[in-house]
Amino acid sequence: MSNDNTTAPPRDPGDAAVSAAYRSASTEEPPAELDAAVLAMAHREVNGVHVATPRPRWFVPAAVAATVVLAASLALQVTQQSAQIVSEPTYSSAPVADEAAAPRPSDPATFARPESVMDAEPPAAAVPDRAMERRSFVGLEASSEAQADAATAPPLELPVNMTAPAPSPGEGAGTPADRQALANKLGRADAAFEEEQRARQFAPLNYLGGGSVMADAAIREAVDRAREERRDPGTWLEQIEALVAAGDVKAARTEWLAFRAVYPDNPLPPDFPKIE
Amino acid sequence: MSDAEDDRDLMLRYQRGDAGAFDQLYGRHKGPLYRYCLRQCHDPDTAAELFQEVWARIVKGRAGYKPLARFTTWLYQVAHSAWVDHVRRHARRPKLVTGQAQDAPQAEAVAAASAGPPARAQVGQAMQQVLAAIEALPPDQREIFLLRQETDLTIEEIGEATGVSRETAKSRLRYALKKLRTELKDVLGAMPGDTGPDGLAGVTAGLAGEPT
Repeated sequence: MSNDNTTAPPRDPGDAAVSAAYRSASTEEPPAELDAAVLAMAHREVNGVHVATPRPRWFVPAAVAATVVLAASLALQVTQQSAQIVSEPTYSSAPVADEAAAPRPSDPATFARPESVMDAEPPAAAVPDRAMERRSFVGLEASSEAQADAATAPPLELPVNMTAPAPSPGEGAGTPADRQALANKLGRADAAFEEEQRARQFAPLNYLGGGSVMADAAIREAVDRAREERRDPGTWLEQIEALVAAGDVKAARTEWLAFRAVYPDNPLPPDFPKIE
Repeated sequence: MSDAEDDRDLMLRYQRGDAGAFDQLYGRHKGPLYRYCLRQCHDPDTAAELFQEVWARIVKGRAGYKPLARFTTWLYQVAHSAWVDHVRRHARRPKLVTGQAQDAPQAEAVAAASAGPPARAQVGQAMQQVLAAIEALPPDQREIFLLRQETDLTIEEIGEATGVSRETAKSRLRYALKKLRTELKDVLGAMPGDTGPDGLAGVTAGLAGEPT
């Protein structure tokens, strides 16, 4: 130990005694195991072995618990998402609603309107079509999770001329038999609805004397064309007269039936040829 | 080559992967550093923990070592920093028992190994009083005093190691010595200088076979 006399405080006669007393009293050395630990650590570092900071005792149990909780959460979330993916298409009603809001050529109520009404955009806030309801029922029938989804789905309205079966106390509880019974009821209702729609769609054609399936298809195409062209009654009648004048009686008749399907009450010109 | 140059060379060799150089370096500094830790912590277990922490920092910080200053200065800079961290970590812990009780076995063991029954009792009691007086110093003064006693650092280097100016370190050392002289007046003996055979230094040094 050097004594830096140039920088140390001035020596009191007692300072040397204090120093000597301290050095005599303070002679401890680190224990051998401490030496070994430090040297081993230094050697490990040089040899490329990283000296890890000792982890607290709670580290491993906490890490295991956190891993288990995370894994369980992920499994639960994946399971729930899978169930949603299976059931969601049943209630994807937006495209169906758009389709239902659009006017249909087969709907006589729509096509019987005057020209100004026909040119206008269809009402946006259309009442949900029965087709949408029907598709919901079909989806409900097809889904194996129908009962569970029915609990979260919006309430559905049955067609006007049908009454929803009142659920019995046990019904809707989710047993396979209950689900099958419900599906059967819904299937029957769906078939009846289809039949009603078909009858309503072809009623004007039957009234006007529409005949075979091919003729009906030709009339529907004629209706669609006229609707796409936004053809007014006068123009349409002139085209029919032209067909008659050209001798194409079959086409003239098809166009005439289509005209009557769209404009059932439209007055005819006095000199309009008789097509029947 | 001086000791300081040797230390620097050894540390640079260890930096390059020579583990044997660290063994030499450790052998040179382990005693003073251990006593520094022991006096600062007052508890052998805590001192061992601090001692190991200091060497761990030295080992891990070897890549950043630059021989701009003495190795001893760097070593005690690290030790000071580790001790400050230790104090902060244990700030709420009740103050450890006094050095008098903790160091008594060590002091008695030294005395017992080197003296007969009458002298043993006298020296053992005196050593306990010396260590108790050192422990009673304010921490800042005690640290400066310990560095002054245990190392060959200059006052300026001590200030550098402890993060204070040279004048501050000098002042703290002066206050520490003054307090110790006052506290140990009876122990050191009535005679001025206390270097005579009646003083503690004379007694202990004589028992240990050292010149006073």
